[in-house]
Amino acid sequence: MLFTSPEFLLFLPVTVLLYWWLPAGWRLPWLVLISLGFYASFAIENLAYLSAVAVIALSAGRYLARPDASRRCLVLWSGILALLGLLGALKYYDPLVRDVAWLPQIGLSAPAGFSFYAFTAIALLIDRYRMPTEAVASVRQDLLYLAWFPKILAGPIERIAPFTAGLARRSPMKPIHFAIGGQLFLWGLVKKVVIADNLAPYVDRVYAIPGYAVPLELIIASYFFAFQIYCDFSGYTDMARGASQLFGIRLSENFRRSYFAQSISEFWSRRWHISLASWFRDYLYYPFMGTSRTAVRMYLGLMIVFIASGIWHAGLGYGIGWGFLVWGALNGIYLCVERALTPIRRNLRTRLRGSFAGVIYGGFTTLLVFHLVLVSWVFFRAADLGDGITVITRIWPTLPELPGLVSRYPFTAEHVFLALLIVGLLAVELVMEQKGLRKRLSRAPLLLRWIAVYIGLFALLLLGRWQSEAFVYMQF
Amino acid sequence: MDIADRPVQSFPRRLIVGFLALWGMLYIAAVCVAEVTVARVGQGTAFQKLLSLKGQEVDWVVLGASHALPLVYGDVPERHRADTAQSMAVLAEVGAGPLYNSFVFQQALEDIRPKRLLYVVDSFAFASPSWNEARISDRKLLRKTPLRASTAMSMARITVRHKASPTGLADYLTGFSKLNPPDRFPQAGWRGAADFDRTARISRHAVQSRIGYLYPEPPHADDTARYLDILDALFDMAQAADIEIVVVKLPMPDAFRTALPDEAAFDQALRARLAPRGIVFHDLSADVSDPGYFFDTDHLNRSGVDALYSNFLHEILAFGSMP
Repeated sequence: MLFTSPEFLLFLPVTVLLYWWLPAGWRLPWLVLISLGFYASFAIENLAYLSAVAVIALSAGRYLARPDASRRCLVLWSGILALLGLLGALKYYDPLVRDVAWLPQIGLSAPAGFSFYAFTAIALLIDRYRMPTEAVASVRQDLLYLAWFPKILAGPIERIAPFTAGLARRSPMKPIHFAIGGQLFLWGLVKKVVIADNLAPYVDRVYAIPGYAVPLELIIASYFFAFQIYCDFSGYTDMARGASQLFGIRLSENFRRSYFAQSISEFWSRRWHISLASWFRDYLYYPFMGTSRTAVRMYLGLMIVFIASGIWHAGLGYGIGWGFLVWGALNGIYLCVERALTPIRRNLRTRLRGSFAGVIYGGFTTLLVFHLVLVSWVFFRAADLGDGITVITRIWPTLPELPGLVSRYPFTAEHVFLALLIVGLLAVELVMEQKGLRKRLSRAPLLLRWIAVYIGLFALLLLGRWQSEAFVYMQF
Repeated sequence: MDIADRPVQSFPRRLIVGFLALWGMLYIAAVCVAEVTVARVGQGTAFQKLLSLKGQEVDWVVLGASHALPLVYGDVPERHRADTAQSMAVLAEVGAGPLYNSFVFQQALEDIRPKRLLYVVDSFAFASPSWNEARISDRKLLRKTPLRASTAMSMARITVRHKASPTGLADYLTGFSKLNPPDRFPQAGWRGAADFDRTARISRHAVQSRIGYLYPEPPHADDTARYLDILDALFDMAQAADIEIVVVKLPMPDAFRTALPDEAAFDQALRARLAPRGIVFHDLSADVSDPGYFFDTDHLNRSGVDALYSNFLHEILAFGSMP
């Protein structure tokens, strides 16, 4: 039951209506029940995987909630290692031992969303360990925190304290809250069904055998993929947040108009998959850094985080291999270089602040960051490292002749259509990026706001590609 | 209590009703525009052709799958009219098995009251639900099927009796595929009339790949029997309406014909159904089999249709079901 399926579009309003109709005492069991039902709708055995994670997280979590308990450190590490062991066994073991005849295969693979709730479970254990006094160890709340259906497949990776605080919110649920949730869901659906799913067939075609594709097609497909993955993932998150909001549960913002970032660190910390970045920061980078502030340790920490992120992405998705490691390592290197250049960049920005040259500089850095990320996406999308290198080596020599190639290339209606979708997306995001404008629009007359919603609905109706394509990040 | 008893403020009901009503009106307006476009523009599907012929009496109706379509590209209906003054409507459809043919034929009975039926038989169309139940709910066909009460009723009956996907009926009634074309930028596939004047070089690989496409799963005797029952029911309808029936298997290149799985068993089963009804079966599959008469692995090109018409079809159509 994907978010884009007709079944889900029926499931959501029915479960929301029943939720608000039920007495308060029944609401939490209802949320747990529909979450389990939603996850089981993909495959009933998914519940077995979820149960394994839940048993580890809930039992260790309850123990860690007692500040006076002995051996808390041992329980924490046992829990973390058990969860990482499960993750490793299900995601990496079989692909890694495939060519080793004497090692047996386990024949199991991670179900959709497994690494997301495994990471959520690890966050639960560490937070309980760090802040036992703040813990309200309710099994049902903890289970909902792990299994809450809008986020189970692809995040955001929430933290236990704000999540349970949200459940205790007593302020009335106003119609505007439902409207905001609905609009967020609609915008996410537009991003997924209208933009990402229309871009996907072109990208798939060109990346199927990159050696046969014309270099300009590879360039176009790489640009299209950058927007496909953005709209696919951020679209999912918007739908998850919108759906959750209809139940009065707020999920954290995971994407914030990512391609407007003016630096790599801004891209990763404040605009792209924010919840995963902060997870790595809080549970890997900070513990690794400890009290040390040396540059070498910082660069090493950054590289470890990004290589770990690459490993997390590997194992499934577009292919098993070294491509994701290169993707992670590239982003780590970008960030290290950026950190090394920080004094120069800061100096330049201070000098140019308020001037026209400052605006040009801002535009230049945005484009630079986008293109650096674009190069790393090639390794993310390609079926394996070899294909990624093929794409880069085929594109690179043609760059000096690019204007000539573009003028001679027989662009089709499909190219124009897809490019217009991206232009439309950027136009909307540019408006949303302007805080003042966004505020003014939210206070616009009712008819104008309705028109905006109708445009979204008609975009879905006329331009959407309703083929129930899975979300890319469900596979990780 | 694990969760707060959070009150919900009442909704502005009038506003919600207004929003939904306006959306409903906009949707209906869009569907109307799409319907008018589908009804007026193009003769792409059998149902579009039937709408444009509605009320006329037609002498011959041709049903079948894509192998019958070269008859249209080769102007057989016009040549037949010139030769015999008899009209002909080719209502065959790409990848259409007997269930889809039956769906079309029911509409034809209402719209054009045909006198004779030429059924172009293809064994692959009796082998898989892909060419039958799935075609009823195929969005590419629904996109060009004008909305009519009689078609909707017939589709509903098929959905219930033959367990076709109800989403097809819902799609048809809401006009969804007309608003949201499923093949906005088709990349590959059968180009039909565009290739009609070509002559193909038929390779073994091309034949294998085509057979693999036509038989997504190996033919199963139960499926074949079920679809032959549906063909029987179609012939019942036709004979009840005093329609003469001729069944023909069109020419194929030898390389393709010999690669078809269980063709002899299919022919035997078909003949066993036709003989008690007194329906003549003209098996032309081994005639006009020179590869130069085909524009791909199995479809006649212009010279193939010329040879077929002048050597066989002209006579068959002139004498109807006379042996």
